[in-house]
Amino acid sequence: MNAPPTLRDGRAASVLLAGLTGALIVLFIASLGVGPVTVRLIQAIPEIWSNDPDTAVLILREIRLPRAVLAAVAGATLGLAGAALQGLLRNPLADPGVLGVSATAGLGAVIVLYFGVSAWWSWALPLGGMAGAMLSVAAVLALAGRDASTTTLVLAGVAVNAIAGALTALALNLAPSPYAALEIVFWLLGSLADRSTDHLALALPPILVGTALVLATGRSLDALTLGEEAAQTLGVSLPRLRLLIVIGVAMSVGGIVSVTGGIGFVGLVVPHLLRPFVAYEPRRLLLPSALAGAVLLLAADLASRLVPTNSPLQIGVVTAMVGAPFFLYLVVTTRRTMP
Amino acid sequence: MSLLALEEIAVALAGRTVLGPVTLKIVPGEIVGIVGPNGAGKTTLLRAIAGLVPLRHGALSIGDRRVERWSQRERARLVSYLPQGAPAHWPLAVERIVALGRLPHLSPWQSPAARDRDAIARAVQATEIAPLLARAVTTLSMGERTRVMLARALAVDAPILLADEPVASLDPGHQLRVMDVLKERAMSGGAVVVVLHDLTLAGRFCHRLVVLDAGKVVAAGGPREVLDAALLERVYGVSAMISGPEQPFFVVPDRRLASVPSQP
Repeated sequence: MNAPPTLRDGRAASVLLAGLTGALIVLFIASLGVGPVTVRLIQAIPEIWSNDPDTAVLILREIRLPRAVLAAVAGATLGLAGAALQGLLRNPLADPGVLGVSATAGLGAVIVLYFGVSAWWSWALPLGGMAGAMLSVAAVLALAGRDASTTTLVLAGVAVNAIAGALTALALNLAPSPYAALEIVFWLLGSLADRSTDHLALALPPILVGTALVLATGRSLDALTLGEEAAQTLGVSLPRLRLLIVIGVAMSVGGIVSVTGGIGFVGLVVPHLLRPFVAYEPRRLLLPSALAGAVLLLAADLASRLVPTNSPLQIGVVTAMVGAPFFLYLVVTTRRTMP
Repeated sequence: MSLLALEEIAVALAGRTVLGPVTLKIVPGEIVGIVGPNGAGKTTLLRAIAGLVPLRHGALSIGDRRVERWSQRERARLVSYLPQGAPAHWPLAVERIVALGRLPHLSPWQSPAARDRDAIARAVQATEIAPLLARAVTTLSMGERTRVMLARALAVDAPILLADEPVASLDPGHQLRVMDVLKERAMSGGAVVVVLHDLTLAGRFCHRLVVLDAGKVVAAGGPREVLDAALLERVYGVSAMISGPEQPFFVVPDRRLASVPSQP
């Protein structure tokens, strides 16, 4: 009796995962191949760890590979965080950017940059980002955790974003030198280019741990479809679930934001587009959201490199240009069904 | 041996005692109806049994153990709870909603086994929702949705089923259909505790009634002993037509009485 839908859903999910993985591989390779200098990948890739690399191999190793890895990791982290936050708050508008998580993670990193801590203690930048992210996730849960109506959620995000924005502006205002201010502004424009591979290497372990924590919440997120009370009577421990997501999102988003700066709307757009393909199940949305986030950001990065502009287009600008109107559209449609 | 035993339990919300002391024992095969006016503490009583609100006083035992001795997962396998209004936040397929009832039996990465599919199939059959399985739960009518949520609660296969106003806002046909499912559940050995506003349905289907008023048990026992004119007047402030001893049971509220003594 229940065999046909299960079979169909199962196949759709496998096709989706296979398709996303394929797209990820293709875009990743394209991302290595596209740029002002022509690099013959077939010749350059085997040489990549050689001790005596030529220019093409150096470009591949020092510029393109880190950039592609960064795009994939950032996209996957943001997509997954969006899917998890939406499942926890049962609202399609939850997203690290909308809720102010990215902004406070950025603030944490800005404070670290402002005081110049990262110059003598490299862990300070990712830790600052994570601390900022943790504060904002906890604040949003306190403000909107019980009743995640669209209005409460968006207002909580507005408040958190406003506080982060004000304090970031204060840091800029009081910056010790124009160069310090410039460094902060450059860093705040979400970007994948010229980011330190050392920072990525530092941020990667917490990002992976955070991702694992978030992925472990799938079943509980499914149960939350029935509301908090029914979920609890199905054996879901809400304090444990909230803690897993707060720490998981803070580690992963805080970690990646401390490297790339704020890249908005990936966590909003990706889960929304995928939800119909996974039959709206919160648990089955998690992994595809991570893959599709990586695909989306790799594609956006390629687009920003291929579109001819006077100065290089920053990826945070690209995602905001696409994501902000999408957010507006979601607010309108969501208000209709979830006031 | 009772399946569920409440000894002098009391619940406080924001420092004010809203329920208790309540003492109640429930055995397998029994449907116990909780009735009483709005705000009497009926939902709070169910939430206390389900472990959703802490007890201020008293002891609650499930089976042979105090509830504190059961883990949350074990308790989830023993007590299933159908909240009032039973929300669904995403447009999941009905089949997936019912399958959520098996979560207390599955470890995080375990997929449903034959035993789980059996429990789901039985719940689907009992509630007659087979034609709805592929529909999105958010597109269902109130009556359909109530049966789907009831199937979800039945799929847990817990010995104790708590249902909070499962027939509210249903038409008479759907009301009887839901009550029949609860009755079958009790006949197959489960214990059912159900909050009802409809006194006729409560009297017809429940083996015992517990009448709550202002958080306290004001009467308990067989429906015909409990629901008499004096109680309806005292608790609800109404006069009612009540069936005679040779008729099938019914209560029809007739007239509101001038003084309503039970209001605080």
